[in-house]
Amino acid sequence: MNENPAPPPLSITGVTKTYAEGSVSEFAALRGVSYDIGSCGIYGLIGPNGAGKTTLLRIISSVIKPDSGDVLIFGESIRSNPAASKAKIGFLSATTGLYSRLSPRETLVYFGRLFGLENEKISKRVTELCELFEMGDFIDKKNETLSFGQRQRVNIARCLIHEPEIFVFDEITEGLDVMTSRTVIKFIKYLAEIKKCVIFSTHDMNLAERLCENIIIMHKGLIIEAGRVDELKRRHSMPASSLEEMFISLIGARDSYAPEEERQ
Amino acid sequence: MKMNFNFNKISVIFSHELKYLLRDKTTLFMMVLLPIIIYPLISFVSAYMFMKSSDSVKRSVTKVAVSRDEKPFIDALKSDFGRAGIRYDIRVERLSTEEVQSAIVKKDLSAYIEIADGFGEKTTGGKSSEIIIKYDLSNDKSNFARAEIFSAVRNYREELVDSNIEKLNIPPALIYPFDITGVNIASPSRMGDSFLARILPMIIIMFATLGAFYPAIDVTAMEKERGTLETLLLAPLGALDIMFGKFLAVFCLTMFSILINLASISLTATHGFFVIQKIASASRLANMVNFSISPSAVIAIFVFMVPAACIMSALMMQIAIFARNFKEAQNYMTPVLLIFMLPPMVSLLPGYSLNASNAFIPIVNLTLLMKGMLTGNYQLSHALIAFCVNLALSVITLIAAAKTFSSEHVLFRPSEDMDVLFFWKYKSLKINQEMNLLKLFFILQLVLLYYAGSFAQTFFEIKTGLLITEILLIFLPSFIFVKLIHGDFLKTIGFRTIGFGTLAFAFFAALCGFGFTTVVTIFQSLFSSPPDELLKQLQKAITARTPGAFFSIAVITALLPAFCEEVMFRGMILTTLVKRYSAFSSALICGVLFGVFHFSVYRFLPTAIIGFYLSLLKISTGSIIPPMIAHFLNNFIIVAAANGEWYLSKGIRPPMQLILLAEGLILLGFIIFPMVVNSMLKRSCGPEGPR
Repeated sequence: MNENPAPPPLSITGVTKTYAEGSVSEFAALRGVSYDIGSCGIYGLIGPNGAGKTTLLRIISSVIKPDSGDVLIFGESIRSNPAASKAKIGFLSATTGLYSRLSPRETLVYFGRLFGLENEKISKRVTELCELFEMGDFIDKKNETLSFGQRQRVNIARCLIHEPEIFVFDEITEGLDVMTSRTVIKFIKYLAEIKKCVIFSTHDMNLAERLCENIIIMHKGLIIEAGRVDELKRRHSMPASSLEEMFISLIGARDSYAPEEERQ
Repeated sequence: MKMNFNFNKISVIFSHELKYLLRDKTTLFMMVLLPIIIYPLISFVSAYMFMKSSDSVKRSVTKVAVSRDEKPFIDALKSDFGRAGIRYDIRVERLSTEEVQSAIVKKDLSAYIEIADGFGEKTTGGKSSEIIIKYDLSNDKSNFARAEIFSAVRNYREELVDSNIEKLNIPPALIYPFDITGVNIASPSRMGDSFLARILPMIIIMFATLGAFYPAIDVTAMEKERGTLETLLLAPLGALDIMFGKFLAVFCLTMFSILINLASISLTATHGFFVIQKIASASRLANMVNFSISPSAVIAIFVFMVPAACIMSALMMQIAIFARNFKEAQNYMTPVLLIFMLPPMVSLLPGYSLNASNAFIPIVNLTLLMKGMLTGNYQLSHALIAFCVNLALSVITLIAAAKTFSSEHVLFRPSEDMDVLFFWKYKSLKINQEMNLLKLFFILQLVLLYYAGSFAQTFFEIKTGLLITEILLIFLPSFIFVKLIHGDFLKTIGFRTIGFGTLAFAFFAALCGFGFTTVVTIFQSLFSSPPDELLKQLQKAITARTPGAFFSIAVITALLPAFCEEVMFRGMILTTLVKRYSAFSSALICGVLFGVFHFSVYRFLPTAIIGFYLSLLKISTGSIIPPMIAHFLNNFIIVAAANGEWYLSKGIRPPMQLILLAEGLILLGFIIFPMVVNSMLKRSCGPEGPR
């Protein structure tokens, strides 16, 4: 690594991804995405279904690989040094599940070992996380016996075990009841307080507006707008309107002059 | 994909999976409880049923009617029955055959003994008389009575003979010149072996398959269903580490399952039946159930099952990872289960054992080897071949599974995704997709050919069998494949008319090719020659006795293969190969596949060479007709030569000049052949390219 002072937390350059190449269902999910996060904070990723949000977040987390382009996480490339970049990422999505026949403690220990932590470190982290998420009552019960809210807490604890710097959340508040959703939101705020980066995708514009300083808007595999919320409103001369209204006008304007032909 | 493994991480995954799998009740039940319970249960139930049925026949009253009241005879009968412990009821009654029949059906009677008039006086007075026993073979009770009556009647006759001998003072040796003593040399345990030896390999493989089934799904498809696959990929370890950790866990459980089954079977065989023997009053049963398995056979079977368990685990995981959930996985796995469960049934066939050719068929060879080990009847060389073949296959399946595991497309298969198997829904196939489909198809076709083909050729007459094989198993699948993938059949296989020069070249190439392969075959036979049996069969199949028969043989063994096999190899396979590889490599691969397809170690090299030059012939001429003609000529010459040999064996000798000429031509062909190949290669890759 070169000695440049403090590389940016996240730097995405020219990432493309096409699914099911050569088949009828061939689909260009990302068509050249570049974006830099200079400083930490909460970043909201919004866009209609099929915009490529999940694909982008999965690539950042090294769950899948890009066809071209690269992502640097604190200067570590997901291509050339995936082990280092993965160690800095905590990822959680709506579809993330738990091993039903393990207890929360066993889950945390397993992932701690997968991330290569020392045994003492793991037990220390488990105690900390157990306290932080109030899991004492059920830490040794089987995951399959836990309530939905308890499971969500275990899931969050799981993505914290290796003390990552950047948190990537893919629609994690979707379909949650008010109480659980609140736990999650509290957690996101907590992360921002302890100076971590959070990127989360959501369909809930109110939540995005309430929570995020920065918004990234994706559409059809491209980032079409990004910046601070108030700045974006000013740029599109809609200072008084909500994020939702701005989003609809932005997407609507693009779809009206670029109809079906882009879907190919 | 980097191939450096992180053994630390593999062991983390392995121990997690092992613990996790063992917490599953289904897995535990299938793997531990079921084998422990099932063997003792099956043996007790079957022994009980056997005892029950043989006892019930014995216990019920045997009712016999005798036509005349011959006191000495009936007394003899009664004492005989008494000695055998049979409960009887003997009455004197004259019955017609119809009456006997209906009485047996009504269970009023077991058998009827008709004694000729004046039986008593005649037999004691030195005259011949007659006893007729009427029984119903389809009735168990009557059948049982028949056996006992026959032995009683024979005993009575012997008694009479003995008393006559005594009365007339004849030396007994005059009447009985020799004694007959039958000794059953089959020890009870050997009898048990042959029964066990047939059934045990099948059971072991079946349970090993079941042992791998649930764990393979749990570590793959269930990971997707639970939503934990994603979290696993987040950790800093490669797809290969994940795959090997999981594989080791499934493999260990499969081996464990095999171990438990073997232990349960051998314990049941040695101790379980011992208990039954004590219960069983009948000594006949005790003889039948005295099985034993030697500990060395158990250990050997365990060792030889290692590659099999490896193949099962890897293959099942590879298939199950395609599935998105448990239900899908079960559907996908059904054919795999059949692959592992049907071939072992060959061990049920009496007399079918491991030989030099079936030792090359994976799984089947293991089944037969186990059978051989249990009866102590196998050759070490065949065992080694079988072991190596399975070992090689296990390496191949592991690599294939690893490749599948590194595919994102497989790991994150969206719900609306079209599987590559539904290839007709694709707009156009990429070359690697086409290649994968072709590989899959070729393997399926080989399996089909091996089983259905050999079935057709044994079930029908050999000519009909060949006809079915060529048309239904070689041509038709290839036709369907080409139609589905490429659309235009004739255009794809390269069915283009050729000029006279090309035609002449095809003839020339075929003759040189024949010369070359003949020399190669002769050379090869110096090192290893096929068994005489095989040669005789081949010879018999293609030898004609009449011109008409010769014509039909020529059609079936020369014309038909030239068309059907060329469509498959030079049409379907080569068309895809040349898109990916150079002309030389394509021809080489196609040749090797052609050699493999002939299912014979001895024919591999010559047929591979033929396949190679036929492929070059197609690439260099751009048409499938020249290889078809050359293929026909090659086979025709062999058929003609074989028939010629038959005439030779009948003492009809052709002129010496002709033999010399033929030998000279073969040698000439051998020398010219490399040049022919070279010229074809030049035409295929030259600056002008193929025409």
